[in-house]
Amino acid sequence: MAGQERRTIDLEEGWAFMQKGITKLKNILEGKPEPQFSSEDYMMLYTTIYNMCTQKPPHDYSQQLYDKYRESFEEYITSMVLPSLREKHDEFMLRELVQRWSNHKVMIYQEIKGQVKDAVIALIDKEREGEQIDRGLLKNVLDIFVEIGLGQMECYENDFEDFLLKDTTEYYSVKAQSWILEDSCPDYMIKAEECLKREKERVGHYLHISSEQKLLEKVQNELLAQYATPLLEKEHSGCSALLRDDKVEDLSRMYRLFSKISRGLEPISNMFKTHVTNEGTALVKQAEDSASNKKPEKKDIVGMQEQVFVWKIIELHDKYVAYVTECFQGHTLFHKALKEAFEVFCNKGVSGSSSAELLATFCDNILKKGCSEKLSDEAIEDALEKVVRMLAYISDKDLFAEFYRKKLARRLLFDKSANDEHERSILTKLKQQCGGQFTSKMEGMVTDLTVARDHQTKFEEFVAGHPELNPGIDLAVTVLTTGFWPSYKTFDINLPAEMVKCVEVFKEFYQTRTKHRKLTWIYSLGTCNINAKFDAKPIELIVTTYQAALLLLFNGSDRLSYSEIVTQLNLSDDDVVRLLHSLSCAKYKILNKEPASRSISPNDVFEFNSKFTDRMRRIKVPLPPVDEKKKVVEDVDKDRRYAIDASIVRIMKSRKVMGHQQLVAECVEQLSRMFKPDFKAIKKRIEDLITRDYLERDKDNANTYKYLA
Amino acid sequence: GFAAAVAACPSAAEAFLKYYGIVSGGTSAESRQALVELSLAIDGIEGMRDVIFADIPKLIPFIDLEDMSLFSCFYDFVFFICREKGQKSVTIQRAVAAWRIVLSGRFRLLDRWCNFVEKYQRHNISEDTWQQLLAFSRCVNEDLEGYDPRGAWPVLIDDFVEQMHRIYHSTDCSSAMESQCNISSTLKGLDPQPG
Repeated sequence: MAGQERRTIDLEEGWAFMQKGITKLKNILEGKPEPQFSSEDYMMLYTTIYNMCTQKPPHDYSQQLYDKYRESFEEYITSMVLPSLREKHDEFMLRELVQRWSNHKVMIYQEIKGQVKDAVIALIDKEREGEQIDRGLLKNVLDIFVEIGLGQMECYENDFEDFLLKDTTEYYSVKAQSWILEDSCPDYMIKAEECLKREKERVGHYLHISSEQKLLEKVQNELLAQYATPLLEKEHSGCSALLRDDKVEDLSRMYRLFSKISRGLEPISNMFKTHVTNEGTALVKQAEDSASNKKPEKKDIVGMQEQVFVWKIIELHDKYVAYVTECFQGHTLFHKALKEAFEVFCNKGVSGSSSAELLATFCDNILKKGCSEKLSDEAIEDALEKVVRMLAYISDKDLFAEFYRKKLARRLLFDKSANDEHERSILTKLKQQCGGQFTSKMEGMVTDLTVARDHQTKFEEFVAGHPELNPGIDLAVTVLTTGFWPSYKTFDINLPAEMVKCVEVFKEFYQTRTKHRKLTWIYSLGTCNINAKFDAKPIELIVTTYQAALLLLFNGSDRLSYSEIVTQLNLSDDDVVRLLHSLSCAKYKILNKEPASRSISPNDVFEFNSKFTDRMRRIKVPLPPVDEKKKVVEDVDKDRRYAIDASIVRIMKSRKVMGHQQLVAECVEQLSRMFKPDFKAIKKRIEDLITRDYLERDKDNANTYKYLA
Repeated sequence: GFAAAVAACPSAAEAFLKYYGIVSGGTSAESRQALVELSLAIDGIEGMRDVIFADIPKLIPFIDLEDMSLFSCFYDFVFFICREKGQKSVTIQRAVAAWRIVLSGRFRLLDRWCNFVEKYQRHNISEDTWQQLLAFSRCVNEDLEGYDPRGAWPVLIDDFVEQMHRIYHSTDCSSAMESQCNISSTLKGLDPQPG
């Protein structure tokens, strides 16, 4: 085209041509009968404008053409488009808008946005009330608000969204006011969840995605946050009632809803904690009641009740752990609530037995031979796993350890342990839970016993190799490591000569094996099988070493007075009374007592009962164990004093100077893994350390201590 | 004026002068050692401790009771004299007798304190408890106001306060009960706030 001579078009001529085109366009827009633009028409119009705008000055008409076009555009909008929009309403207005919009954006937007926003919101409210609306239409309309911003969301937000959010707030505020009165808590929550779901879908259908969070927040605030307390505390259907009635589904819904709200879960976790605490406390009370109704002679059943109690606590735990993980999706608040609740009632104890003791007894019952519960191996493993988990809630872990060790010692020494694997398995679990220090002694005990078996074989070989040393009695000795085992009282009982010979032989054997170890004999733990020749038939008696020593006195004399027995055995009165009772007042009366009565007194005289007989050829004469509870508690108390001392010294050694409160707090913190030290106990230890010159008070501030190196 | 004291009760006055001299000068290690020696010297003379102890009431009029630090020193001296043969603590009987002399008129709860200690305490009185009682007598009034249960008072003093509250509780239900509850709750739970 360049170089070719072009005819100059003047303004009048050109604009007249353009005007024709504009009129044609108007007719088309207004839907009047008019043929569409052909491509030739379009080309002509385009070429004319192009030429007019590129002519050399003074024939460059681009400015004039632009002004004239704007004039006629505005004239069209004012005279045609806006009146037609104004005369239509609601949905029809919107349809008109979309229609008009495709041609004329900004002007219409400014003119109509307020009206449009109202109409859109009215439709949304209709939809909220369940009416069908044309979502595609709303989508198109709202796209206008987005589009007009040319990438910025200001128009959408300021001209529409703000109003929608305000409307939403009002809408749900009104709803909530009536629902909270009419509906039960579960129904209310179902409605709320449904509303939230619908609002979310609404965003998907026609709102801009950026509205989702804001919209849901408004709904959550109005329906849930505003009414959290009355909703959760509804008397017959609130959170407590749902927990009471095991409404797992409703509780899950409650969690889902309130997890979205800031601090929304706190009241729920508090109610959960209260509920679990109450349930547990009720179990404790139940156990207390049945313990106080016990008949003294039915001791076994009482033991059973304590076993049942621990089972129930475990069941309770299983149940609410499932709540935490399933309903409450393992949220830390609920883990904490569960822990705190269990700590409350797990540390209460039942009728004089601390829970530490109950758990240790529970383990013992499961692990010992002839376990009354007849559990499969898997069930035992499972029970052990759970009981160890319970231990986490017990603050006196050291007390558990001491009781456990006592009972483990009995199982191991009297061959009462049912299964070595279970014994080791629970130790592994305890180690995982409480650390290696906690189980090191127990592990030592189990190992001791394995070593002892080997030792025994060697001893038998030794005796076989030295027939001249054979004491004539089969002897089995279990050598234990002092530190691992509970401490036992050792008395210098006067053993019968036969037994003294046994001890000597073993000592001789032991010296061949080791030089630097000292043997301490704990006769109170021994058992003996002795043959007793009664008139009717000989019977093998299984008795303790003490009982045996006492019975053997009657090989030398037919009658012995109480005081003679005490002197000859060199035992304490308590022990002798217990022994004599087991042999003369209990099930098997191997000794006759004068005068015959049910208890032992210092003036009694005893005689071998040669008339005694039994249908069995072998009987075990039981000796009721001394109640060791007091000793265990005393031992633990002593250990605690050492532990507190050590902790205080450790802290003060590194800090040198420290305030009283801070020292106490750190000491509690350090020891809490094993036990909860009593405030007073710590104070007493501090005082003791002052007396022993480990610490002194600051001269100017008696509340501050200094470490004396 | 102390010459008169020496004249009135020579052994007690001399011992106190020596004690005072040791405690007010020298490092703590030095005075510790010097006190051990002084103690040995006193024990070197048969019955000397009893003589000094018996003379303490006679010595009191010569001590300026308004001088707090002098009185503290004198109070500690009394404990020093009560200790028998290198013992670190003092028997309850001895301690109570000494308190009744040295704190007479200076501690409103003295009588109750002494009765309490005689009735409930089973072990000897340590130096720390002895010293802290003086501090206690100075900061607490008859209603036990000024006692902070979170403070580092010896357990014997804590127990005494608890007992006093119990007694007040039985005479005046409402107000004393509150304070008793406060005490027992702070004894059980630990408050990390500094006293």
